[in-house]
Amino acid sequence: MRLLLLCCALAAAGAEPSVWTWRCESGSCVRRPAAGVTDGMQLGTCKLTCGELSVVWPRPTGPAAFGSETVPFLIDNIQFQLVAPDPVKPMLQTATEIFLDSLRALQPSGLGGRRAGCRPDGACEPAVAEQAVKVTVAVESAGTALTLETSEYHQLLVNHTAGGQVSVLLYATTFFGARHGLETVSQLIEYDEENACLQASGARSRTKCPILDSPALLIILGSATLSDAPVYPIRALTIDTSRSFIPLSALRRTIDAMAMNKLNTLHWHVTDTHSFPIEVSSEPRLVQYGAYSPRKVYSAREVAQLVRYGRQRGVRLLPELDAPAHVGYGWQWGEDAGLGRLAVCVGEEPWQSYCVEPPCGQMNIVNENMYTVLGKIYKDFNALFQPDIFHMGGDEINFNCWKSSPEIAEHVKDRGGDPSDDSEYMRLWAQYQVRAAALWRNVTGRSTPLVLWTSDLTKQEAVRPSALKPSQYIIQVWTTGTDQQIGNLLRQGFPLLLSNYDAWYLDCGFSAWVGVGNNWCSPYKSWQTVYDNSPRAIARSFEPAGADYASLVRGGSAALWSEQSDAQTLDSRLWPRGAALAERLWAEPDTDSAAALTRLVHHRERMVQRGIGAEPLQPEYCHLNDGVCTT
Amino acid sequence: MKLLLLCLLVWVANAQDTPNKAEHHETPHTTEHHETPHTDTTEHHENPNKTEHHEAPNKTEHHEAPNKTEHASGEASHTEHKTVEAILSKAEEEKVSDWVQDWVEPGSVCKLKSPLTFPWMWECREGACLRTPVSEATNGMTLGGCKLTCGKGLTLWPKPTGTFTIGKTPVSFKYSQVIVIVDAPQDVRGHVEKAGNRLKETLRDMRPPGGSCLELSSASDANLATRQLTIRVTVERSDASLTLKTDESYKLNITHTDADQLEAHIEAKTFFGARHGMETLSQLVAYDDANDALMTVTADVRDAPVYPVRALTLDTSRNFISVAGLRRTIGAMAMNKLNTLHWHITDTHSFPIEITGEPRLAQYGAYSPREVYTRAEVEELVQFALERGVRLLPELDMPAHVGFGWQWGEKAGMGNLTVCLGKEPWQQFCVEPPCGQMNIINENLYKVLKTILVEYNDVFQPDLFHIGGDEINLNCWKTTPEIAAFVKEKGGDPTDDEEYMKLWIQFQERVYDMWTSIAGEQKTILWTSHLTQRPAEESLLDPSKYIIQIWTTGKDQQIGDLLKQGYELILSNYDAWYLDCGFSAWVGKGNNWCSPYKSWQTVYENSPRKIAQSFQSNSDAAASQPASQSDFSAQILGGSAALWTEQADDANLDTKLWPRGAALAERLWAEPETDSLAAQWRLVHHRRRMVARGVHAETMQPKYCHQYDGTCYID
Repeated sequence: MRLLLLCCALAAAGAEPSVWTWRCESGSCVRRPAAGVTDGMQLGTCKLTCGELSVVWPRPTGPAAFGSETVPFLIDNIQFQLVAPDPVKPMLQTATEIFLDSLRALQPSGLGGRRAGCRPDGACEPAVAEQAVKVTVAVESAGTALTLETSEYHQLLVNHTAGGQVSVLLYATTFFGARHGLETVSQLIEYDEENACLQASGARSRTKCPILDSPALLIILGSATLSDAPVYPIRALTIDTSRSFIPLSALRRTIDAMAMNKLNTLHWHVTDTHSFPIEVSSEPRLVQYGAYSPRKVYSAREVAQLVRYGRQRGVRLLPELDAPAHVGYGWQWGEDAGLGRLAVCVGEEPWQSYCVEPPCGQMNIVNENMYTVLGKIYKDFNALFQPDIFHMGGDEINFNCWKSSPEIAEHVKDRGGDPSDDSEYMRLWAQYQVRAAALWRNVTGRSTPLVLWTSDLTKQEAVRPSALKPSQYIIQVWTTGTDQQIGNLLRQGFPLLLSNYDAWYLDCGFSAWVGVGNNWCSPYKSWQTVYDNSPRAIARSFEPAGADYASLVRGGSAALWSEQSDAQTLDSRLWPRGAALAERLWAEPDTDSAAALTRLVHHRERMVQRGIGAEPLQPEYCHLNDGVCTT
Repeated sequence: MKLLLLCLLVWVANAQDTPNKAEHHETPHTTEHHETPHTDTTEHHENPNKTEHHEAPNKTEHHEAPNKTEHASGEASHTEHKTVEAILSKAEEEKVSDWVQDWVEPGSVCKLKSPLTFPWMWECREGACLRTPVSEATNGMTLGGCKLTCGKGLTLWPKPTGTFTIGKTPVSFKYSQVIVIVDAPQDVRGHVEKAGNRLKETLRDMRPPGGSCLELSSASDANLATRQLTIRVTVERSDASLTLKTDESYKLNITHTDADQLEAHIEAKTFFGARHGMETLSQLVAYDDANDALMTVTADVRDAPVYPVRALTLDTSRNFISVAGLRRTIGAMAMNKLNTLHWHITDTHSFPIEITGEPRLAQYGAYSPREVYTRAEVEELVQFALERGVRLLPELDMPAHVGFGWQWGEKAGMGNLTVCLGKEPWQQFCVEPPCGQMNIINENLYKVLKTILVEYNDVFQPDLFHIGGDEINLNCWKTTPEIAAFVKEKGGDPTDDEEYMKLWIQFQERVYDMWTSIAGEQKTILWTSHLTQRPAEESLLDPSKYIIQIWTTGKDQQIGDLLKQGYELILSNYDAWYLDCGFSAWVGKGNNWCSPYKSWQTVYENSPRKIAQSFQSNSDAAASQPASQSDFSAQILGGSAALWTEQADDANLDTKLWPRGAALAERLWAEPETDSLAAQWRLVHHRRRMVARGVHAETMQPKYCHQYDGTCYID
């Protein structure tokens, strides 16, 4: 997936270096022929210094100022000072390693073992070789867990001191703020090929560059001040690993990419009807019967590692066990084991009568043994994820499935109900939800906020008051941004997460996977649509005079349902649209996507350099000529 | 408040500035951080610096120090921690499981070493492989075995056009027992042998890393050690180049002899047919997890393509595509028996190819010195493609779609070689930014052009050449003083569009003559345009000299007009075969111009034959000619799905091209009467095979659908 940095073809052919130079004109980097130009900049220098926001993504929310000087330096000369309470220190140290890796990734491949910034003969440009860059990171709090209350605030001061040293001072309340700050610092650094070339040839001449691909020289913006904190505490991607399996390496890469964008939540829709790919150690039959194959499994140990991997990168894993619909394979062994049917309608046909997509399946919520198994899953999930928020799914329940399952209809009848009446099943569902929530609480011994998708349950106020309390549940909205239900939920005081499909479903617009034509939520949601979808504006559109609905929005998540995504397509579906989402959730900018274009195009290039297969937004020409690719 | 904190920070930083040896331990180059105190002893089993690296996609991973405090925040979490430990400390060396694997993607390993049995087998029912509980299966197979033997060639793509039969019983063999014997004329013997070696590599790579997930019983197939698969490849003719006349047919026969040996015989007129036959053979082999071996079936296949030009059009100017990306694309094309990479090398945006006779083109035209195809690379690529049955069909799009790469003319004393370069507002001078068009009245332009054409002919040795010729903006020339003056000097009216049409027609004739004087008489290709819209006697495009590539819709009346005049056509109608459609707009908002996305079903169902015939019935109904006497579909040379790269580069090349390129391939190879639904199971299987062979083809459906043929439908 990775765009391989290419070997220097022209140099190998003995041709001359780039004929271009750049100039900053009212915030845009303009390409000009280099001949005769003495005040030209290389592209990296220009991008760092030209725009109002430099090339920082997502844009800072606090005051920010960026200087116009860049300082070349060698990666080996970065020194760190870490001032932090003990529990945070090792995490901070690892964060600096990740930071250095992100800088190494900027350099073209093929440098071999050569020391950065030096000629093949080992000689180094003295001024550069001695340039010190000192990064001081101070963290106040000893907390190492990410919660809805965690401060992600940070403050940054970059200064090229009189003594010649570049000093980077980063202050944050928590580790999480500090790692965001390091992310920002990494975005103030570019690989500068032209400078590298000059250093390599040892001559201040731009006409010859004999070894373009040898020295790895970086430049850092000489001065910058900013303070920054996110607008929303939950900035998420929703990833489905049931319809198609996503290998662990791809999940890790996704977390890397999220960290580059200061997204902090991987909402993991682990299971669905199609497959149950996660090992629940206390009930191995779930994965045995549920995995597509023994290769398509997350072992418990891998999950625990991934949780740590995420936390180190400022990303919480928010597990979802979608229920009572969207279950099926993994649960079908109950009858053989003498536990009765744990799930009903599994693979039932015609599927249109029993569920929203093949294959069908729903929990047998009247089977007591089902709750025993559910308790085991909750216990393992709690142990593995140690989640501060838990997602219970709760979408797309099909009453006809339950109604047509004899034991459930019987149960309704036994209780004196009318088994042909939908409202009986609505009541069962609400009871299930109350019981499942209590089960989760008992297992975890905590009252973690619970998340539910919008559904008939969240819609029906008649059922809801006893079942769902705004103090307990966050509702994730997947219907459109104009759905009146959003207003109703806000009026009752429910905190919301937005994933309205008309903007934030990343799987839309491709080939149909049942039938012909394109898939159900076509068209494709462009990065502009993703960027311009404002949770605040949506909340306010439902707000009566005097109310403050926007403060109930906890954030949002762009969802990649994986009917048509796996490791092959993951990156190109998620990025750079996930980056557009990230700026919306971090900053809630008043400006629109057009104002963000130039920075996003640059950020996409940066993500590719760091190993993410993000889609190109435009011809490279547009990146080399700011502002020309517009209507 | 914030300012205060910053002051504090500065103070802290300064305080730490005093030399302090201990601080150096915190620099990233010590290994200190790998050894932070563990409370969790099971962590040591992870050996993170070894095991993790194998899985890291791009870069070094870090061992994350577990943190004491996060586990010690209360009684409840203390017990949870123990649970985690218990889970993590599960012994690695558990019994190898009985799990059955079905298809192996690169790098995937058996994840669960569970003593439990895999609960599924597959049964073939009415041509469909259905996942069935082991307890209910009466004639269960592994998924791979089922797909190989169930129905009529569930594993074949594109489907053969001749008669074929496939056996019902898989026969296992060891990779080490495969022999390839080549019987071919000297001129192509090397090609055939290389293809045979690649076939062997393909078979070898079917075995997953670490082998089977099954517990193997040694007695399952006693003859495995002595059973050979002998692949005999017979080629009749010595043609080593691919032309419109090349016979690509082949016969494949796989038999299981009485002596319990496997013999596969591929017979073809040409190397190209034989190579296709080897591709088909590879599709009749699967990994056999029950024996940790391979398996195949008896088969008899006769096959030949319907169209001689089965192409992808790939643009490397809007965004650069690495040579590795091009090679991967050619490899994937070969898996689909596509035979033509129509390479739209240059455009206004960049000129990424080295022309040794005029180095300024790439110097001024490449996005960067790294984004260039050197002559040596192109020569190698031509060879690489030929060995895989793929011709490189170069396009030098002109006289529009040129620009960067040509802008040095004036300084070099040659006048403007191009005009309107980067001119704004672009909407008035071209179809997309940046603008640029050839200065067709500058004699020096033709000198440079000749240098390029001579070199293209040397490097590509093409049997077909593409001159582009699309989207000329007459206003660009009209507003260029030197061109307007030229028109005036010749006595024309410089405000009259027709004058510029005339210049364009003259340019086209001159370029055609130049090319054929270099490359010899051959047909050249043009895109549909304002020029091709005109009757041949006006456009002076002789149907015996020009092939027209259609990019307008499949309903465009121009198609009928061109057919009636006798032109041969290549279809790339954008309403079905433009693979870049449906994504974010790259200028402005919303989605891009040719949205929606063209689904694989749309790609598959776009039939050149039907399109041609739809115009035939219109035009011939009145004349009541029998269809056989002027069969328009006989003028169809084939088609090409185009990936314009404004929004594609190495990062998403594969996902844009595949599996839609495979849908195209079957349409062009077979022109099936059946629709996409009938092809779905096979294509889902083929897509997984492409992934296993290293192509990042998009997922079409949940894997569930691949495990249960026919369940993912809609009425």
